[in-house]
Amino acid sequence: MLSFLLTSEANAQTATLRGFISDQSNGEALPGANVSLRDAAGELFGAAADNDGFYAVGRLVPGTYVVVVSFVGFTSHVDTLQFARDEIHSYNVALVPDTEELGEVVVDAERTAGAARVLAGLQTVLPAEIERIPSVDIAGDLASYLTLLPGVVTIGDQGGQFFIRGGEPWQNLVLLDGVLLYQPFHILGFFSAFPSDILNSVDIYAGGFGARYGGRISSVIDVTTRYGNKRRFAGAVTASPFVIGTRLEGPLDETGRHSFLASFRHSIIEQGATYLTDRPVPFQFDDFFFKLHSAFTRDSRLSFTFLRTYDRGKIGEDVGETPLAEVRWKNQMAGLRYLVLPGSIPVLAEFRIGYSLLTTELGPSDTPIRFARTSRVNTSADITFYGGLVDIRWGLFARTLNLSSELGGLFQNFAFDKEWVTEVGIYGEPEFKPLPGLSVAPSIRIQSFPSKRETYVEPRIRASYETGAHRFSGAMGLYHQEIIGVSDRRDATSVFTAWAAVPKKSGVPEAIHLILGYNYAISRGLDLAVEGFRKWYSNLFIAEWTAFPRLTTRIQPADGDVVGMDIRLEYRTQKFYGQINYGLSSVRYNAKQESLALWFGTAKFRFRPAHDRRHQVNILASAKVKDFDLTARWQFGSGLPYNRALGFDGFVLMDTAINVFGEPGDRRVIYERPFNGVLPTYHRLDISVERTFEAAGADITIQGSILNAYDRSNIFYLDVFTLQRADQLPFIPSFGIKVEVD
Amino acid sequence: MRTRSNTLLLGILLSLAIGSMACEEAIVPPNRTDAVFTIYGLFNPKSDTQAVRVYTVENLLDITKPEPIDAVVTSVDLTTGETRVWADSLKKFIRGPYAHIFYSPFKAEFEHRYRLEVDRSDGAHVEVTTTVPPLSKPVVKEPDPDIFELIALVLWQNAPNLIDIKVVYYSNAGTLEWDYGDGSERAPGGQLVRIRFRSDTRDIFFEAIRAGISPVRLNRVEISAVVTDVEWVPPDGRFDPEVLVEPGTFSNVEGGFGFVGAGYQTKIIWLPSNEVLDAAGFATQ
Repeated sequence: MLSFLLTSEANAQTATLRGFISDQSNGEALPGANVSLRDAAGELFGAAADNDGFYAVGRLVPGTYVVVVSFVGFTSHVDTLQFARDEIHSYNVALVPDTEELGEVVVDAERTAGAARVLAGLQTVLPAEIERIPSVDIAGDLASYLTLLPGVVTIGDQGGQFFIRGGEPWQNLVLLDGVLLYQPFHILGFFSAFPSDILNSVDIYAGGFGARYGGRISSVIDVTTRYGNKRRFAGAVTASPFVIGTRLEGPLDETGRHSFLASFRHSIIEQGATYLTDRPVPFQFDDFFFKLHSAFTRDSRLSFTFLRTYDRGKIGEDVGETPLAEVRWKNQMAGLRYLVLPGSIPVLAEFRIGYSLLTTELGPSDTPIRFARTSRVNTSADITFYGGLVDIRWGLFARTLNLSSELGGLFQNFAFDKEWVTEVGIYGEPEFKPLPGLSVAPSIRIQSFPSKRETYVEPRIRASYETGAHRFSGAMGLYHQEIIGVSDRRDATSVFTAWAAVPKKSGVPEAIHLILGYNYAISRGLDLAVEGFRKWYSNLFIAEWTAFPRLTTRIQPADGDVVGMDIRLEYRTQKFYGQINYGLSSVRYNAKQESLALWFGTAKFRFRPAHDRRHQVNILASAKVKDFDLTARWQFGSGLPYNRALGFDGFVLMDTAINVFGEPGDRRVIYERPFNGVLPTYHRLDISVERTFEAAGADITIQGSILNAYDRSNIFYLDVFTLQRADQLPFIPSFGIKVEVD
Repeated sequence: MRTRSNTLLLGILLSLAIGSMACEEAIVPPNRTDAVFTIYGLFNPKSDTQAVRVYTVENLLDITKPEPIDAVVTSVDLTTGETRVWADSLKKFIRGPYAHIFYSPFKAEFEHRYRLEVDRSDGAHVEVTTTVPPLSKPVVKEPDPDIFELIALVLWQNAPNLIDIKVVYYSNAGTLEWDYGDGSERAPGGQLVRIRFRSDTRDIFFEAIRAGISPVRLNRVEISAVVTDVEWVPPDGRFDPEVLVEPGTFSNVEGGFGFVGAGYQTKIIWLPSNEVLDAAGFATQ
């Protein structure tokens, strides 16, 4: 309705140019491609293509324009167009790669993304950046890249749990082509369901995200995949001691409008990497991705995405009397997306339906100790109106969730077994561009849970101002999360997570984000970004404290406060890439357990949770020496808090005239104040050498890499009861080969 | 030239990392708490042997070993000055650790004050002092059959405090136990417990209907409680193990942790009158 009104009011008498920009060589979208129009008076108008390659330029006064479509690495397309009054002109352009400038492509294309191009918490990541990170596998993976970001904390290289700017893993929204995934990071922390060669781009909002996203209170990882080659068949096979994989893509017919993309990876850690280290690495995972894409008319696109992942393994090290329990989880996801440009109005309409399922188990496969199953069906419609000075995006959504679990005595005050939750909502996200370089996007999201009689109104705003080499940005917003992930966070290595609706008598987790950022393009190839952030959390659920030496426990309410700053310096030339980033962060929780007043004399207790990493440094350097690509990465993280024990004694409940000869009692831990201890610092160097050559019509890449080059004993898990530690992966030499036909 | 400088940068990065190898950090053992022993037990004037469980505060959560512990336990009757050295005994529970239980074969005297001391050979010392409560006998005052709730009053004369109060109803439809916890109130002459006779016995009738039993007869009521010293009161009024397990929360041991009290079990059997039984709906003889 709003779009129709604006169409008639604001757009009367003017014309609109819109369309899709693609790569002529393979039909892939070219996000970031630039479209500029110059009228007879020399005035410039323009827009950049989005992740679908879609662009729109509105409010064009009828007349003649010179249109230039350009993207680094491609030959610019120039044309002259005439627009009549109220005309909506669809104009798709397929740019031809300019192979002579190829060396500059990576350098300049990343100027639109790149580590130091963060914009109010948003960082756009391109596959080439991911592939630069040294890894145990020859193919890049988003999981490895995430660990490079300041403000992203992992407990270790096992478990696949990411804490983003103080938020916990269950507070991160992970989307694959618009469909939610619950646990897409593999059990070995270098891998996720997102290998770089299926990716188009990834938008990572470390906070301050707009109203189009909801249902999570910390961050968004919005993954967009490629279409697949629409011109010819292509594929790749990779192998390393950790994983083998294959990718296949190609056109579905000769029209060049329909394509498919498939990828499969299977871990061979137990058969391969285990022999490179002196200890078992009991992990297994695989993932299968499949996508169909069709540009079946000039003004519409249809895509279908399917993903299946499986993980199995034992986290930590068997240091106690009780053997480690095996954890398993499986994601399944399918999504259908229809994108259309209606002929008569300057809008882009997207319709989606998606299904995602997570099943997770802990314990023996035939008799699991804990079990949880979460499924979600999502339908949504998103409409974007392109008005020139203002673009208005709005949408509707309806979701149904089925949550069931069997927790085997864990989380005693979370009495849920099986429940259905429905959610409906609407959002509006206008983006005003009143002055050159200035963008202001206030937005609002209203989401309602009819079955729980809860409605949340969430105002948010994002803004940026760019002048010359300087850019200032900021974001602020209110966020709620009705569906929460319940995990035993006292055991920091725990990856078993059950999803549940917030109990009726409890408050819904809520967060307020504030981000202020500054970017400075110091010189060509050298960028600086500084960003300060703050998150205020309320109604969090954290594990209760107990002096009983066990890891199963009850949940207590808490508030949280995160404050921090990131500094990123990025330098790139044709043959060298360097990045240094530093993250400073402080995470504080205020626990509200009823017993606190009795134990510590205060109703609230402020403490550092287990993921509060105060200082983080990442240095990445990559150089091309002759025909070799050399990459080194060094990471440093200050110690994480943990519950330090002062000693161990016993406990006998003196609730009657007991007979001490007949009362076995319990062992007990005498803790300091909770999380008063600090684990040792973490640092590690990974290096890799890579060379690509051609043979028999294929590109063959051979890689050698060393993980943890100086064999640092980085702690992964400390058993505070026995003081025995489990370390992260030791020095591991690895090698890989990739054969690619393009 | 540029390639050389890039390689140099990589080299610097490598050196930086190798240099940090020297910074290996170890996990330090826990800072020992000043507490050296944790003690649980009670002085029971109705028992011929007094005993306490003694835990040493240890560095690691190992299963307690069967070896003797470096502890000497003595008790002093502060009323008479009599001192006793207690003997160690080792008990192995089926699914638990070894337990060091120190005992002494004597009967604690009513209203005497005792100090229990545990000493280590290096001079570390903990102690706890408690007073045995006076002898108390419960007396039941029957409910007024004309008042609907049928509240029976049980007075433990001279009792400073009561815990673990239980009421057990024996009927031809089965046995029903109610836990009154520490639900007594101070009254002139002792501690008073209000027994909710009508509401307590309601479930007996439900059970009788379910089992097809009629008429329903109440054979007897057993009322029991532990008479304790005044210190035997949990800090928030409940014996919740999740709360009390926190060291120091419910502790009277100086220099250590744990709780040593004084008390004894009491019980009275009450046979309600026909008027009360009739008012509650029970068949009478």
